[in-house]
Amino acid sequence: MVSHNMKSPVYILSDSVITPLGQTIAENMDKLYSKVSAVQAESHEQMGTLYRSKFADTSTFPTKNNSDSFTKIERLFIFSIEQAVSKLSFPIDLSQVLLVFASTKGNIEYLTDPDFDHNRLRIGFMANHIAAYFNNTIPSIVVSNACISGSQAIQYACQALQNKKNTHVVVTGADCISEFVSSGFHSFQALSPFACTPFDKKRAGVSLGEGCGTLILSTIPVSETNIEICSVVSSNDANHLSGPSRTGEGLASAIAGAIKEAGIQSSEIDVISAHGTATLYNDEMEALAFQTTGVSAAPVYSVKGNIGHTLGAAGIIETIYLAHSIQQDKLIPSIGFSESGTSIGLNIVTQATTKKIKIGLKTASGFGGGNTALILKKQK
Amino acid sequence: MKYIITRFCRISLDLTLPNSVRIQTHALDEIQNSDFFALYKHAEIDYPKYFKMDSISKYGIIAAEYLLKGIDLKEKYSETDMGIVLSNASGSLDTDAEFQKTINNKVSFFPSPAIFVYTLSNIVMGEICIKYKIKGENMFFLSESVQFELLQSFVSDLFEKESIQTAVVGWVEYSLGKPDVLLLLVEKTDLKDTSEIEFTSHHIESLYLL
Repeated sequence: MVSHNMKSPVYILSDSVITPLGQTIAENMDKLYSKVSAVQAESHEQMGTLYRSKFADTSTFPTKNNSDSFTKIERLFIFSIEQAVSKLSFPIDLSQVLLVFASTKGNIEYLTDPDFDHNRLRIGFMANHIAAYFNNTIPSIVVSNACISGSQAIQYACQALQNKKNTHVVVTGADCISEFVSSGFHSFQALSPFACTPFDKKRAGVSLGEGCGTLILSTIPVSETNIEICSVVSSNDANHLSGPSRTGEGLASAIAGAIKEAGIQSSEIDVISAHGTATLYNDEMEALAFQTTGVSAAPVYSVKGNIGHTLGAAGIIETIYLAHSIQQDKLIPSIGFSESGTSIGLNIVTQATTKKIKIGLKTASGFGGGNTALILKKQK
Repeated sequence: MKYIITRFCRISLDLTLPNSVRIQTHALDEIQNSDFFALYKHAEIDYPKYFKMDSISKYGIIAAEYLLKGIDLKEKYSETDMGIVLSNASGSLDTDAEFQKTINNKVSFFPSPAIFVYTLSNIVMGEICIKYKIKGENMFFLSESVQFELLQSFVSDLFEKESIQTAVVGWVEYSLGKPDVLLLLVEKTDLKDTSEIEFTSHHIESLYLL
């Protein structure tokens, strides 16, 4: 039996979150704590009123070098990577570092644009195109496993670091709102007719969002405040493509695996950043999985009411939020919640609350049946 | 302990005959008509859901059926000990284009939920998980060509961590009517049998180039 404790811990050295809430972590955290939502109504000729968290058309992502020839999502990636690198206390050569990308749909909004280089619709090609901006010729890794892509990009990065193949890894995830994805969710009748309300009795679906999150990870911490990533485990429901399991068995298996790999007890989990998409089935499934794994007493929140569902970026953005909440010993409130709407009562955070937090759990689930559980820990 | 490729299935476009594919496995090597009904009949599958799937998922299911035919994975492994790690270049772009047609026309704007569900890279993997009850670690990579070392190292690490006891591993690409599929079944062994195909990036590449 291989001891799980023998692998080196992985630490978050730096990060960046770019969402319609703000372009710095501080701005994002302030707005999460004060329950600000970026989800707004927008009218679509065919689909009616859509609630989504979208960058203003005037938003620019001021990259260091000229990026005029890059698309919105490509510039988001570049800008976010540059932000994360600029926060590091030591220089890092972006031409020599492994880049791990997560995205579900990449440049899909250009599918019908005849002037667009259609090679860049392939996310692997897009990743190489972004890497070229940094003169980086190391083969990039791209993870595209629906809404668990972000968490799994972190999973891959941790493995690469533990193999000692790399000293630092940049993990970045982004997705943008497109008519393609909005109309698909609309056709599923999965979009909420108001800003989404995770875990609430009156929840009626998801609100989509866009954004990018970037992590710089290493097995060598630079500060004792660096948060440790203890484990990331995935599972598959093997049940249905577009709906979560009714029992929560798949997510429960991932959570149990992550707890075991982290070498902790379920009772040690101080806070859960849920997937919390606010669809009837997802939130109920998560509540069941939390109950099964003995973590349902922990404070739970979802940020989907603030920034919408950022799809392939969600696992990264929400892991970063959780890491800062742990560092700051402050629980993030879940907006849109007023009355319990799951068969298992959960301890939903409704106001930003100061609390000693050592260990946090981040969950995610997606189309295709995938689930992930990720555990973060304060060093001391 | 070493990891070995106990079975494989390669499906590629056959250039000797029109509308045909070459199917190579540990047990056979044949040219078959690429018509989806003919492929279904040849594979002797009884899985009507196949006909609702998009093209890439159909090829994924056909390949998985050839890969796993005649063995009962569930007898040897628990469902959560079975992992799957797949990859491709084009994601779901073939089906993305189909879905786009349902929203191009602003007068008759009817996005199809039945097509939309297939517009993610990993759906072929989800279909294989459902059919064969694979409930463990699952990962989907995108790259311009097969990353043999990536597949080998990521999957070996999952074995090392004891996260999985067996895995379906490979490349399931479908673009412009051309299938390009390699699926492997990887298992652990203590035995020193020299005829076994060890799970190395070189052997994955050899099977891909078969």
